[in-house]
Amino acid sequence: MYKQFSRRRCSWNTVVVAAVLVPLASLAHHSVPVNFDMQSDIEVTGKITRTKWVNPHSQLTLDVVSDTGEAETWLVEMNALNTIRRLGKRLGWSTDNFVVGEKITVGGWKGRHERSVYFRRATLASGRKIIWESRLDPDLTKLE
Amino acid sequence: MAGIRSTAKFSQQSAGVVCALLLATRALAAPDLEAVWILYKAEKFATPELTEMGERLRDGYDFRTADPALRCIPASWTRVYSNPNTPLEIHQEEGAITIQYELFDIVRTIPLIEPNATLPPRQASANFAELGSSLAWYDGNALVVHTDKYGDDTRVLTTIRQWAGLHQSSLMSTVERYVREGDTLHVEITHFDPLIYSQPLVVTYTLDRETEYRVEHYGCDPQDAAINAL
Repeated sequence: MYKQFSRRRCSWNTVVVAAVLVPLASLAHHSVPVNFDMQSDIEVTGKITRTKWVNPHSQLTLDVVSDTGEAETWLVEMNALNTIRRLGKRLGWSTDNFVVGEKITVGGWKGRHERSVYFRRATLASGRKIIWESRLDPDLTKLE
Repeated sequence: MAGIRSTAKFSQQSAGVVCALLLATRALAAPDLEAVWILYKAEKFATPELTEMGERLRDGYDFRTADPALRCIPASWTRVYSNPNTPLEIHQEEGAITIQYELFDIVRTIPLIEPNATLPPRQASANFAELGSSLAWYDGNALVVHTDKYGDDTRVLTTIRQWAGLHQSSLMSTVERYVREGDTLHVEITHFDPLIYSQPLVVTYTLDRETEYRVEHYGCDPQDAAINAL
């Protein structure tokens, strides 16, 4: 499931068509605003199929069923593992909260590459909600 | 004659004492920058004044392929300092400044010189040749770092925000000025590159002193840096 809360609403049909046609794009350590639309806010629900806790960016992959019933693989990009370890303690969650096989809903910025989202919050299978929040000033959250 | 020799000897001794005092004063005057620092506030780019070549390179920049970080290589000091949430630690030693950056596990040892002294041979001062060769000195309350020899290729300078695609050529040199104000460290990087910029490009950072976190191992692996490894 994919929900679009963007100030710039885009068509779900467009996303689905593009997702079918375009393979999972290649990203890398990068400027987040270059690769993600920080004016957008989407939610993606799926089953965690892989976790990768690394620097410079941790990643989850989700098996997602689209509104039209098609199976998709989505990429969830997260902060650096070192940063998650430091700030996760303060925020009350850790990498252990992300369990392969469990359902999760991730909210965040829509990727400029198809089927990707930058992690800002999540609702875990237990119903617990977790958020990403750092000590950065508002302008700098764009750089995370 | 004896009087002349005595005067000459006194002069030599006096000069030695004055030199020692000057050095001691300089050593005492060196600003204390030793701490862990971290970026929590947005950097400030002056508007780049690009040459025709600089504009062409910026317009042709493809963030999906042209970012050195794809290979776990820092694009530039500006790119390094623009990375938030990632601490660095400054150590001031006799004759050298060492800065340890968590990002990409960069370690930079910069020879400390007297500005008018004979310069030592320039060699890479960080564990990435792409980050050039640096020399440092104190100027009042500032630590100044001059860097050149960034390499023979032309590559991207920054991948950050609206400035993504600014480049640097083999003619690039930079001057970094570090000034501490309490628990704040102001870093100003001025880029000189006549091939890319018609005016020097100035970028400024305000780092906070970090007392809770330390620099940790980063361990970037190109296989992990690319999402297509999934």
